[in-house]
Amino acid sequence: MLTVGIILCYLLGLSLMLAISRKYSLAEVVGFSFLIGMLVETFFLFVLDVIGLQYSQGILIGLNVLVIAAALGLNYKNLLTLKDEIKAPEFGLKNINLPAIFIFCFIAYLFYGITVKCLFWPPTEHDTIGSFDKLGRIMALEGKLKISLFQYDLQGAGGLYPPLYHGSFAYVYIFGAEMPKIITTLFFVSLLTTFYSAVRNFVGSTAAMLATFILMLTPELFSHAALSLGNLPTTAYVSGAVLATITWLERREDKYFWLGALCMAGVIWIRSDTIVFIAAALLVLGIYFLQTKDWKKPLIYSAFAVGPFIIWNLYLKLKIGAEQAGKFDLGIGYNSERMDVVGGYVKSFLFGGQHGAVDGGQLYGLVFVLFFLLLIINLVSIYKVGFKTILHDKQSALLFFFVSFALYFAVFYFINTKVQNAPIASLMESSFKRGMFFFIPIVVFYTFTNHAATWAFEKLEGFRMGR
Amino acid sequence: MAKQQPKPPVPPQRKKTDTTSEGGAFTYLWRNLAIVAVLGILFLLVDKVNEGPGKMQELYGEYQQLAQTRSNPARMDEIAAEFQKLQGDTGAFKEALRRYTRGYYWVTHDVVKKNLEQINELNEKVENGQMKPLTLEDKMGYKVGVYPLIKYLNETTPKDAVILLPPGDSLLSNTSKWNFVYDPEWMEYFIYPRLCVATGRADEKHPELLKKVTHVLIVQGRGYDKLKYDVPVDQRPSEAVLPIDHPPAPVQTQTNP
Repeated sequence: MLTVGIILCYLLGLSLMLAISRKYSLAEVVGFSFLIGMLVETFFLFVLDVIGLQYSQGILIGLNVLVIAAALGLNYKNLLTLKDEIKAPEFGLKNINLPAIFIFCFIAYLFYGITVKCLFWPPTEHDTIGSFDKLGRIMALEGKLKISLFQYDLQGAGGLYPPLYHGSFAYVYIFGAEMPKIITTLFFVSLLTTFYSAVRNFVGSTAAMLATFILMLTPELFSHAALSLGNLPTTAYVSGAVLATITWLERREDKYFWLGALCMAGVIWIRSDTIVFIAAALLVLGIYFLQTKDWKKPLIYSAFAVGPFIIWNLYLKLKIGAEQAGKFDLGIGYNSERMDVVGGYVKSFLFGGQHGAVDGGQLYGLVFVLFFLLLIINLVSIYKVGFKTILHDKQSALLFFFVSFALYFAVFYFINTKVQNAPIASLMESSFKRGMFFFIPIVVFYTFTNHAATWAFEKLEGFRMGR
Repeated sequence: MAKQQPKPPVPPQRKKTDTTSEGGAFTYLWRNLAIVAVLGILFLLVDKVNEGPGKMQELYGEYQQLAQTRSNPARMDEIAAEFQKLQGDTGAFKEALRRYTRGYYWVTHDVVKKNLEQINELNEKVENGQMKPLTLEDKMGYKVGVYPLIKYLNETTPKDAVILLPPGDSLLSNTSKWNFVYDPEWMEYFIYPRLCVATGRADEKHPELLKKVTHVLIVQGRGYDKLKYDVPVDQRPSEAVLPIDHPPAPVQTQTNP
């Protein structure tokens, strides 16, 4: 039954994607189907809890079939033309990209290795035992989101998190999973495929494959592909949302607008502290509005992005009876000691080197260093290609990164360590360190699609093709 | 009517390289392979540069093991000499490259290769009949030191039991043997639908749960003071799950169930 559940999740996502557009690459279908499918599945679980219907395989299958049929039925005229548009792939010699295949083989081997590890061992991380896996398993057993453990505060910290992550665990448990780690693997596949497709929209397959390889190999991120923690799935949503939004702004293809908006709903439906990306998105859309005077799309996007945040906070207040208050201590103003600690860790994370018990180079490899290097190269190239070209070159990607990172920095700078019951150094070495994942797809995307990199990869592609 | 302009002469164009023709195909393959070779050399370079520090970690682990048993002083000397040699293998270029790439070495060798080897070894033992196929419980036992005690707790208490956990002091926390046995949020995962209460924190939020305690989890001989009856000192096992109100007959322990 687990296979049925997973297939239904993919079909649900795909049917909604097809309602948006008919034209997707295979990587987009694989990646976004699951992200959108699981977002909607966990929304079903939430709605069933609110109306008081107990979860069961039957109810979920019924809901899935109903929504899939409705989405396909309402869209059937469009879908009828699909078969005429599907072309058989060409298999000429010039279609074989050996460097891309070579890198893909490495990706496939590493993916195989980490997946074997992921699916072999049960989840044992403190946060998943004390929170996410426990919530998911008991949600499936009790058939509701507000499980009995809330009565004695035994639900764990994740109980106050929006329900996408532990809801996805509950979903696979309802369909008979023995352990929930298939979810980690599916989110990892989604992260890689959506990222590849986003980069591929701007550069050739060699560069896109290399970018995906660099993203995948990021040491700390890669190790999470065998764990059951929420950071990697959140990264998958952030990546899908931000990169689809950037693609929409760059290419003005509506399908990316909808994919971006839906994934942004997932960003806030999985963790509340990802509100920093919502803020960055609203700023980027504000600029879009000023440029185009189109208010409809920013409004729709904002509704998708902010709606789940409001819904979840209302649920917390009205049903769980908890409020996430006092998390920040704005009263500290400028505190040089706090600034030194937070700044020191951030410097280590971004530029490498040891700080406290962490070493940024060991954790994130080349990703941030390459990003800043390419940023400098592009700034230097202003003399040759002109200020406007560089200013507008992946402007939205840079805005997303710098605005959301500044806000993320502020979140930790102002965090109330008493409420968190942990010193700031400890929070930087655990929460902040893992939160850095969210920015990795954005910086790798920029690194491989900026003006200078695109020029270099065009030269490489020219050499490869003998042009 | 305007006179039709004669078509400008088409300049002779260079024939585009046909990559599918025999010569073109060879050139195409050669160019592709050249890029593959450069990528391969880069990957190998990263691997080689980080091989030394990677090996140092392995040697350090081996040395620590030997130091505990003091079984092979000759090998310990060998390791020390090799370690010193590897330590001297530095240089500005190597160090700069290592700074940002050693994590990649860790990923490919430690996270992927070693784990695959370990899992394949276990699977081979199962295939050869040297061990039975591992169940989820067996695997949990491998990873969670305190799992046998938790399993015992589940086997000896009713599903509506409320368990008083041991205090999370320095003797229990930060050890792989006891994991987070003192943490009710962590323990609840294993013992659900039973409930649990932390010693010392129970009356902070939910005093009513403390009143419902039915069993005490004894770890390292601590917790006997929470029982409402006396257990003779010579009958006190270091680990046990005991009813809080009345003595079991006879006293049940993990080793004497």
